[in-house]
Amino acid sequence: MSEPLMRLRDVEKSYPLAGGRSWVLRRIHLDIQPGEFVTLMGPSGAGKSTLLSILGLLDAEWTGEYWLDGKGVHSLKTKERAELARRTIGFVFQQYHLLDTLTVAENLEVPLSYRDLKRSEREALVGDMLDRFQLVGKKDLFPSQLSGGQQQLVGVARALISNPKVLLADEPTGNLHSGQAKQIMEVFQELNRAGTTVVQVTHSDANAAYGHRIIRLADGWMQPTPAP
Amino acid sequence: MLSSLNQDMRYALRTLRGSPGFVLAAVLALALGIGANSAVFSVVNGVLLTPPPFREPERLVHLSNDFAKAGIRLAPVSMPEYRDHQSLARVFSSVAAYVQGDLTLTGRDTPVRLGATSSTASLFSTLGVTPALGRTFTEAEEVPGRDKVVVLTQKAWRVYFAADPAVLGRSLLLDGESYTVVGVLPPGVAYPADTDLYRPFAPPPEQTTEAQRGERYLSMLGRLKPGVTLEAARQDMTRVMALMVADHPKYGNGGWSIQLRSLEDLVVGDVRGTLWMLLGAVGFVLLVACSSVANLLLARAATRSREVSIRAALGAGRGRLVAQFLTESLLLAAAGGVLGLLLAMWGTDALLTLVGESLPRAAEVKLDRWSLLFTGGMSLLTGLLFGLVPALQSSRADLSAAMRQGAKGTAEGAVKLRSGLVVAQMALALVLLVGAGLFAKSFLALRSVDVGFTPEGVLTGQLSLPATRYKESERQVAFHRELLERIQSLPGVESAGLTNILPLGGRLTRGFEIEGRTKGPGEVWPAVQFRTVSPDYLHTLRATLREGRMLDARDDAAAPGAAIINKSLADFFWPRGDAVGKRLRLGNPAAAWTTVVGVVDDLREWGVDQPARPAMYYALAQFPSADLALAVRAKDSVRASVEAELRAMDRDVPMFAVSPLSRLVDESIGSRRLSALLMGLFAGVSLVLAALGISGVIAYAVAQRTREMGIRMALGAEPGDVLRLVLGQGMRLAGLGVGVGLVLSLGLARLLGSMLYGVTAYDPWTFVGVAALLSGVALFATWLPARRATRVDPIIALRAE
Repeated sequence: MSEPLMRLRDVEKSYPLAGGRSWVLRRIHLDIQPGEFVTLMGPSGAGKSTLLSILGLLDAEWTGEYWLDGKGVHSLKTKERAELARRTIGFVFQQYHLLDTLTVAENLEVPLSYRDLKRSEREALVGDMLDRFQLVGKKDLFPSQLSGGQQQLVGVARALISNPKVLLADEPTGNLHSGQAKQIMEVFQELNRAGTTVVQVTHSDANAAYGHRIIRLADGWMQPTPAP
Repeated sequence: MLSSLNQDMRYALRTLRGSPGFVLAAVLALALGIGANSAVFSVVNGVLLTPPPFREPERLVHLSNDFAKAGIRLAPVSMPEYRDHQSLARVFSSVAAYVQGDLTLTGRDTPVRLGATSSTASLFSTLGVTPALGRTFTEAEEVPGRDKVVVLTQKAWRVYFAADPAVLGRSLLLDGESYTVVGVLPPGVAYPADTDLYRPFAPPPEQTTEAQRGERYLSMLGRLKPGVTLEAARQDMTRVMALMVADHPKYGNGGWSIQLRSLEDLVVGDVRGTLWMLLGAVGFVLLVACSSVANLLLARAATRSREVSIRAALGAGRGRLVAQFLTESLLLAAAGGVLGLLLAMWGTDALLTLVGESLPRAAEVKLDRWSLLFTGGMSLLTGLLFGLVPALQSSRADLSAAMRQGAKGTAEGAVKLRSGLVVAQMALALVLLVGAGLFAKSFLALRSVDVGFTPEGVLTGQLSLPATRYKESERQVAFHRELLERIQSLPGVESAGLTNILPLGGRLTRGFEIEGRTKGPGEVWPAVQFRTVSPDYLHTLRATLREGRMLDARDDAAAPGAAIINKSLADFFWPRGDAVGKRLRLGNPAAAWTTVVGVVDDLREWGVDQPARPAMYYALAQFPSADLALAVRAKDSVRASVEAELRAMDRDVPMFAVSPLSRLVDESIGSRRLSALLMGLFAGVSLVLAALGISGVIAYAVAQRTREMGIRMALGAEPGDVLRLVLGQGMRLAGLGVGVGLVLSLGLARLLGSMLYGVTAYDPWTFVGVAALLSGVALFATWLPARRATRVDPIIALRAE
């Protein structure tokens, strides 16, 4: 078996609370292989989104060990973590989180603007992505002029534009109706088939069915995986 | 209506009580703006707007002899000229002549020096003044022997005679002669300034003959006939001049002209530009303060949009909502106005202390009902100005949107408006900074002017020997010699000297001829300042001797006439440096020749900001005078011991106008120092307000953009990227403000040209320096909230949605 893309050992997160600590995640042991499509499930407050944030290097306040793409995140400095995140992670949010004042094309360009790329290279990548997601006709529209599904499509395109190794999606279809949700999940499946590792958080069994593996969380603990 | 106003007031008070920080910031900004405006307005009002206490003052004009080619302006007229003007001119309903002087009032514990103006009886009717007590002079009293009557000004009556109505008919001992008080003038009448009393102008007959046509020492005032304009009067005086040239051809080749200036122009003309400029500048400060408060209100309104929506949903019309917001802003303005008034009271006093003697009509400056009205009006106007826009903005909130999503819809418009206000603040601050920069440079240039003498350590004072006891020049000379000997022997005194006029003290020109040199036709010789000085005077001032020698004890009354001339005079007539040994003769062909024994570097005799003019320094022993100024160079304060020596010699000779020479230098540039100081103060206040404004707007924008920052950081933005983004937003505003400000400044700088010295109104270094300073301050003000933006936690920011 190849080296896991993501390896977590004894990862824990807690907040100090009067007289003790409030635990969000307990002793997480998790390996995710390159090319896997993993779904995190569990009731509200189980720690899914927190785990996703830790996987996506948005959250640095935790203990334990985490290797991403062979690098020990737990021993990296802030700047190195940011650099690693830029190289490996793409994020898709439930609320899309597009910038209201930027057009579709400009929104796609945002992640590229934080990488050392020439303007022509950025434009080419944006063009490719618009083409790939059939957004060319909408490139000059503002988010408010798009449907929810279209906005999330832009969100996915934006997550992918810097060619990450892993796509993290937090309830990506939570705000979409079923038709739009299906479209987005098919995109994820397609991306995964093309080699992108996908980790999603969802409440939907239908969405989970697109993946290879489901990890269930409850009260911060990983639940034992039922035998296949 | 009343009940809703009452309700608005109560609610406004309660709301404001809930935000003491906001109230404090707003009231302070307004108080600064309103207070500074009221203080400057009270000065403008007293000096420029309050009509002088004369009947129809706009009809009063001052006549003078000008000789433009020789640089002579505002020269007096001679007795024969006065008579000609009186008889030939057709535009005056009356004319008057006067001479300013001093008299010492004795017969009391300590002698007092009083400003005494000798005037024709017509001065009072020309001014249109009737006495408060008694009478003024009659023409019958303009005769030597009958002229021992005085009219007191109200101020002198109150200060020296305790406002005693029985003063009429009382006998006063002035310069040793007895005068009878015949009248007291109404309050405020003292023309020319510094007059304490008036006595009849009664020249002896020999001083009124045609031979005296060249002896110009009378100031002349005229009252225009009703309906006559200044221009028409000028044309008439051109006609009069032509008649005088026909009768006395020597006017023709000289280039003399009669100049008419309105009395107002004569009295306040020099400061008018500066005062209006300062009022304009302080108006800018108020605009900046208003923008600041409007900005604060807009920020506050954004947090209150839900309240507005609920009120609207409950039936409040737009008018009621606007009224509610306006009530709050007017309350703030009223508080700012009250505090501003206190500041103005203090500020007006401070202003008057700052300008000292250099401000004409300073006595008229007070916080009167007009100033109070101005402050009240200003408060109301500012309340409306900074309150209306936020009130309209807040009342326009989209109800359902605001109820649903808080302040977002309103916030975008408000941010634009606030950005616009910040740009305006930046632009106004830049204009004020440019003004302050130019005036500061101008002031520094004046401070570094080589005045030709060293004022530090020199005490000066005026003395005047009573004409009755010191009529003969021998007695005057003996007094001067003994006084200087006594002072020079005092401990701590390095040297002491006497002169008729101290440096920077003004003009006294005399006609002269040069031995062996005749004036060619059309040739113009410069007007030459005439000074008569004791041997040690120039040494006491540390004037620099260039050639020859200084005056000394040899140059006494019996010795051949000796004089020092300054470099300007030497360069004009003897550019090859051979002035020493040449001989000059003052005016009268019968006078003896005087030899130039030395040349000194130029001393600024007219003012620090006036170029040095040709000057001659005659030996006091050979040209004695009863009215002199004393200059004493000493290590310590010797005022008391000098005064004691003077008292010991003659207790009826007081020393007055005692002042360090350095203060006279400071006062000569007083109005420029005032401009520099006030502009600096105004610019400083505006800079702080503008910096707070931009910082506030950026902080608000950062708060509004927390989600965006979170997204950007989640997408890979580093703190540096976020910092640049926010700084960029701030600096775009600052850049726009600087740009607009530079354009405004370039337009306004033209108006400052005549008030500057040693720097052009378009001085590129000032413009560049000020733009850099403002940008630097804006960068710092933006950096503070920008730094906060870099600390946005993306997880929290994204969850906040």
